[in-house]
Amino acid sequence: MGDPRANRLLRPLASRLDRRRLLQTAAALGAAGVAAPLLQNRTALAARQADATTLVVVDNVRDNWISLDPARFYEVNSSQAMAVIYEGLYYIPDGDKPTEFAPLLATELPTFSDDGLEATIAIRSGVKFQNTGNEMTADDWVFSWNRLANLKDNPSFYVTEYITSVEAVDPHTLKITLPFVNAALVPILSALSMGVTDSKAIVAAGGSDGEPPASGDPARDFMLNNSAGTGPFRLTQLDLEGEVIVERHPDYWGEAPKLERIIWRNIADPNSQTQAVEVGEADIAYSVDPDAVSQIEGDANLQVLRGPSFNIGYLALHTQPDPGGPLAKQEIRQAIASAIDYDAILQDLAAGAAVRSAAPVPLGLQGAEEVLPDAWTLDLEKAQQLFDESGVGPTEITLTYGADKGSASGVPLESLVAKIQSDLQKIQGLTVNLEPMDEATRLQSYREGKIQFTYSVWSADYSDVHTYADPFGRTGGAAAKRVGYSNPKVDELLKQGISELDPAKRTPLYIDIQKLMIDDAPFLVIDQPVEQKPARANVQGAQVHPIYMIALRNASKTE
Amino acid sequence: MGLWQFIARRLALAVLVVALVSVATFTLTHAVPGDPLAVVIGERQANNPEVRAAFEKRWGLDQPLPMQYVTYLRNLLHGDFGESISKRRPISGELAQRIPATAELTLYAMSFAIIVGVPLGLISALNHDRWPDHIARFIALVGASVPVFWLGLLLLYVFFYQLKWLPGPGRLDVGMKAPPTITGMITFDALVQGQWDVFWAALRRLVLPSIALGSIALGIIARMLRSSLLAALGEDYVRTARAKGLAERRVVVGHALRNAMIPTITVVGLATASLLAGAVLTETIFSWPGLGSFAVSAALKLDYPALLGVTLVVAVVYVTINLLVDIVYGILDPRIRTS
Amino acid sequence: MASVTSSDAAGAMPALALDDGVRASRSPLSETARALRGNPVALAGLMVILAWLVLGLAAPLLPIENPNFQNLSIKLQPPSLQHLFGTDDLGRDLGSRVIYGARVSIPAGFLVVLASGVVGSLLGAVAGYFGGIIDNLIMRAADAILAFPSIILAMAITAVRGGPGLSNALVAVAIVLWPEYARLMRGQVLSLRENDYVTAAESIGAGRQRILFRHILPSTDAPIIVKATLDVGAAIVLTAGLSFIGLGAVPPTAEWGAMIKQGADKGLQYWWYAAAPGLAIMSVVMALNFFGDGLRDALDPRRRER
Repeated sequence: MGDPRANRLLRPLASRLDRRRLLQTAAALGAAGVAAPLLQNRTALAARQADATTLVVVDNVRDNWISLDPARFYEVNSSQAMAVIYEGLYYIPDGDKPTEFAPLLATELPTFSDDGLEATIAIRSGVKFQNTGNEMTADDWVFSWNRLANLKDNPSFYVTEYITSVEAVDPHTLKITLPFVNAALVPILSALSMGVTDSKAIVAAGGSDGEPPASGDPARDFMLNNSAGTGPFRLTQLDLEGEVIVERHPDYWGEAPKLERIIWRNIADPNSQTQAVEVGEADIAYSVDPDAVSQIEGDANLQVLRGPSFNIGYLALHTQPDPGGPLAKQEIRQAIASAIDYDAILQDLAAGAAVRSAAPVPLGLQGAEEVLPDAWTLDLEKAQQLFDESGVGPTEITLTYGADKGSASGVPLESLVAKIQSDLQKIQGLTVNLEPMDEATRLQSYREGKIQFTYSVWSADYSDVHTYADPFGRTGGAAAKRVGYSNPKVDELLKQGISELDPAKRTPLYIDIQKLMIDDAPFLVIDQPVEQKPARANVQGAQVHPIYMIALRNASKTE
Repeated sequence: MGLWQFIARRLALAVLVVALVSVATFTLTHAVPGDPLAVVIGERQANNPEVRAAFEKRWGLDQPLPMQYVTYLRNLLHGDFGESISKRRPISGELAQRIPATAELTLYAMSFAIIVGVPLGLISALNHDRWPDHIARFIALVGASVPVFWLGLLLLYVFFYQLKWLPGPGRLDVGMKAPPTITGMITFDALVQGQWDVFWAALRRLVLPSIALGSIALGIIARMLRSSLLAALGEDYVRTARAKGLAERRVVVGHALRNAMIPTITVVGLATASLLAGAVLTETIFSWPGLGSFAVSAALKLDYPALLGVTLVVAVVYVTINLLVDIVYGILDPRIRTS
Repeated sequence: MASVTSSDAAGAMPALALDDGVRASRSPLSETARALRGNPVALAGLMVILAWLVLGLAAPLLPIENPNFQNLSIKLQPPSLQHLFGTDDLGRDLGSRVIYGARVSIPAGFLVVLASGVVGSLLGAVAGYFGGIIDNLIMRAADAILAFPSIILAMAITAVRGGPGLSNALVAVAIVLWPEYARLMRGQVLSLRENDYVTAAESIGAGRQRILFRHILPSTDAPIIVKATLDVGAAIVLTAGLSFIGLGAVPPTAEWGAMIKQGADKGLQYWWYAAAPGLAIMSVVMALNFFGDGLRDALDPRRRER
């Protein structure tokens, strides 16, 4: 009796939402009547996994990918696709040796002028762009980097901060003028955003390398849905709710990849990603719950790809009385550093899915291994002693963290901060309050230096120690500024470090920097994730990589 | 007041409410101290004024607030909801994908609630204080008492994880492609285009979230129908009708039910709105790519344009439902129209 | 319709008590009690609620573990003799956390419904009875609030009040709930106003306030009480829902919604994590509903006559 009436309430709602589309498609459908049989066979996708030339990766594409345009790309997960579509002058062939670089589109390492402010680089000939077949020349590099700088999007700093100007000496020689002698030039030139793009294709789409018009970059949509690189794969579909597909580039200059195509399919939840690999609907899953890994390892059809990540999760302790309060005292910061049960966090909470560096420089970069013996470890007695000696007396601090569903190395943030709170309150006289804050507000307050004590994450812009030591150590550096940290000795060492071109002399400088920062304790690294990716056992050559996330250039599948 | 005049007035008020909501959301979201650009500008460029200026320009945040609102309205008239700050994609495209997802889920959930809830309410009231009443009330009560997010988990645990009878979170099986969009509601599209396997897969995936979401409304509908029907049965005119010797069936259908329908219809309307709120939680549990999960991420990231878009859509839906409830009121009880 | 509503005795609808204070005799209370005594289901509901209240109040005295005591070596253990409800991802005892959770969730639900019920019913009654511009003003405000997705409203309120937290979530829930009372009360008042006894009262020159409070409001109790009892539960669930998406209770507070969220994040294989707090919420809400139903039967004068 009641339901016809209620249905009457609901029906107009449904039709209102869809009427326009219905009308549009009704006409199309009528015309497509002949083609109807074609539409019916759309469900055989799972069969593609069985195809040894197609690799299927499942990832939370919808939430974590934005754009694959090098001038805009600044996300972590989509690095896997960027690394097979676009190519830079140099690259990191082996993810386990992240500070070893090899020429990619350059033919050799740069030669520097005597003052170190001019670098000349010879580039490869016979390289063809995807889709157009245009031959890559030095002009494309000039265009790409100018466009990167002028779009003023997230990655523009690679040019604006590190390169004064670039010119094409001849079609196969680039000359780069630097604002300062830069020992990290090759790592910076290896960044995925520094890859070359097809200038003619972008100009044809309305784009330019100058200031974009007020209405925005005309080539934006073109670069969203197409690729214009030199890499072994070209973008053929970008549907972030569904699938991102790249196909083999037939005219690739280098060794041809073994795969015909790679598909990234959107599955948001890690447990469902794992399940897709377990049932054979996907080859690699991007994320996994660390507590589920042991079960995967027990399955003969599966393997777990492992490798380092350069992300670090850290506690930031404000070093000035406002808003640091008691944290302005070095003894209190050191007491806190000695009261945290790091091993329990890494082994019990994160189930071994994370390691920890001593200073805010991830393991794998210069000097991080060497300063490990200096790391703070749990020593409650020492913590209490430091706390008492500081003369602060009973005091309260507030730990702020992002309220959305964030996690650190697979550990929910709520659990992590509850653990840290419980550890720190073992210091007699110290009370720790927890304060969740929405991420937009937290980041803003933190960047303005208004937060006393917070947990935050930092990731690599390029594969060199400077991308961490500088923002965290230098007075006024992006992170240091947020906690009011300043140490003139660190500043001096950083200046020497960036201009020291001899690696043997350079690493010791950064070791000293890290030791000073450990002692000052403005930042305490809590976790550096060990990336774990469930994969089918027949996947070969795919490597977890700190910059490319998953290096798929040499991936293949056995039948 | 004639029925059409009554409807016209209600319609004008409805438009007013939507306008109110849009202004309120606009002001509220912008009054929140957080910075939506903080989430999208990377750590490295956070302090670079040039980059910040470029981002502000792109989203018009450099304009004074009233100007921003005017621009927003102007674009809205062209069907342009603006661009999401956190996802950097047009919001209209996002909404076009998510509205059908939520509409489909809500439709199935509401159907479940009505098909089960109305008979339950009737059985209860007509068998007052006898065992069918107790059983029906118990079911309605469980429906009204279980938190939807917990029921969702429970259903997943039992029917997906343990028994493996039904699929887990998501709208479609892994590896299955949605049919070409007609309405965006997968079951409907698949049915129209004869893709039976897709239809079946999508339908199976709708079962658990619809039950979880519909349980809220089920309890409300059954309880409200029962209590107002019981109240109506106790009224003088029903007793008079009985005294006059009218058949019990006619008494119930002709008199009591008609009066009991008024609060029940209100509640169906309100319940539909509460389903939209419940959808936030259900979609979170079932990884459902609908408006609810969109709203959560927009809210947590302070994505102004996305928040505004989703709020407007929900407001329009809600106001439309209310309008319909009002009109049905007006038809059922003409006295209300004259107020 | 001279019979006095007993709702003032029950305390669930204080709005109705405003004008009836003088008439709040002992007899409705004892009648209610007598009626309830004949209703074992309602009594069972009351017992469960009381049990939870006692358990919550006495929690610090009970021989149970500190709800915030962490022991990572026993994390994520299924129910056992040592930990009847299992342990969470920090090795805390879930049973103990659920009991302490009662201290948070139950009082919160009552508080919110009291606030929103009083405000909402009054506004709705005024709107329905006086009509015109007052009606429009109140009901459009109610519509606008109902038209907001509650989470966005909660988010805004939370931000304006300075970040997530239980008290902010409660204010948000109260603001979300009042319009429903207003609508329901207005609908009731609208149809009652046309009734003969009201017209009669008007014709003998009774004041509008007097009519509203003495003649109309007392007749509207049944649906409102059904709603209020349902709503204490709904408020508990809604507050838990806000915690579930991270806008409610701040850790390490043992709050049922937050616990379910943590359990859900961990995965279905750790079923006990979300099971204990979920069962707790369900038992409280069901008990409230049973009791509310019994109360409704006891309070309805017409039903008593039958």
